[in-house]
Amino acid sequence: MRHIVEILNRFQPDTDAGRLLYTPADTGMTCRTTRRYAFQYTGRLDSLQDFVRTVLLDPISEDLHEAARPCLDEFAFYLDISLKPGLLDLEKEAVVQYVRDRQDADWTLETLSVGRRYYFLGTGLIGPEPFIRDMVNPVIHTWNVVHGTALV
Amino acid sequence: MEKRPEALLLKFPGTNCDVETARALDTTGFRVRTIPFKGISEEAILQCRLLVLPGGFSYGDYIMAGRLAQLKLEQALGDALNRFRDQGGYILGICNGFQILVKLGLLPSGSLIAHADGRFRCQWVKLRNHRPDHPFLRALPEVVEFPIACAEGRFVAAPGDAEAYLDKGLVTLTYEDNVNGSSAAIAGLQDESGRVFGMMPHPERFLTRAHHVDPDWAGDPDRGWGYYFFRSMYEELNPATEPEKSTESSQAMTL
Repeated sequence: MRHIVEILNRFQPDTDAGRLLYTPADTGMTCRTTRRYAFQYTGRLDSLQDFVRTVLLDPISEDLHEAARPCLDEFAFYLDISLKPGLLDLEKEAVVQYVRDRQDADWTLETLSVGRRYYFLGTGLIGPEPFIRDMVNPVIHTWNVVHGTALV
Repeated sequence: MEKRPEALLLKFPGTNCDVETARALDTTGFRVRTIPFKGISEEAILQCRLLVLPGGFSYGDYIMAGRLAQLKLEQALGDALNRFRDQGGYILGICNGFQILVKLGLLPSGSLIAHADGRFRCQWVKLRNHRPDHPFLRALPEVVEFPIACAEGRFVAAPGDAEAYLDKGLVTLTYEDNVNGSSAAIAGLQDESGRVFGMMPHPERFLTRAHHVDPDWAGDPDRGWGYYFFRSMYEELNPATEPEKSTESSQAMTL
């Protein structure tokens, strides 16, 4: 079974998307970043959800979104970036190791994918290509772009 | 028999301020023992007078700063830190240690998150001392300087909580210039008992006058404020000691 969660910091302001480029530019867009975890698992979903709330979420500062659909609306596009499978992802290793150390879990983790999602908000002056060029390292990253309802 | 009170430094994978914190404690009179997390036990904690969680990036700050250290501590020790506090022990968390103590729930509810501008900040800051009666702060002036070096040092809490902490006297230090956007400019907190103390700035990096970023700093002829920070706790735990205080003139001067 598959369970996807996205975590959004509610205190994080929108940042100027142009600052993500090597040569900062006026893009007319802002950016919000979320953490995204995709679990392939067997066992009880409510136990996995409890794990997410107690381990991955900071209830004081973060909102949890438990669905495959994006947690924000009205974006021009979003860019998902994660490490290629097989590369050493230390955050993933830390989470996996913690899951293995728990004796009380009644769910079993089969695979975990950890990534960052960058939402580009507003009706921008440019498309995703400059951001892919400057934010993605094709040697180590996989990435995906999805266009939203706002026009670019 | 060694009369110096023992300070226990707990070192996680990724802790990187343990050496200078141990030096600060040793310089101010403590007997210091550094224990890697794998070797920690409740017995070791109960033997010391002051437990210190130094700064650094425990477990790489993965997930969020302090989270994995919190989970591992809870797994290994249960509520041993609560028992240690209830039996009269003091707990100090500096920077990443502060983040861990907040996550453990040993300090008032809140969270330390990325700075409002999203940047790592390494700079000297002026801080207001709100609890000059606290053993860590009683030898310090009303406004004191320490360096900060962190990316996730912005304290946030549920609406109204930060102001309530100020009213209840749980806020020990605030930024004079709120450099990271913390709620109520909070830079340091204590618990209700006063025995658990956390702060983002690094007192261990200001032991001598020469540590100050300004070579002409004249707040004290020899010592930095960090020396008095640790020394006054030493005097609290070792009451037979002659108190050392920063000079009247240095306390009165404008920093």
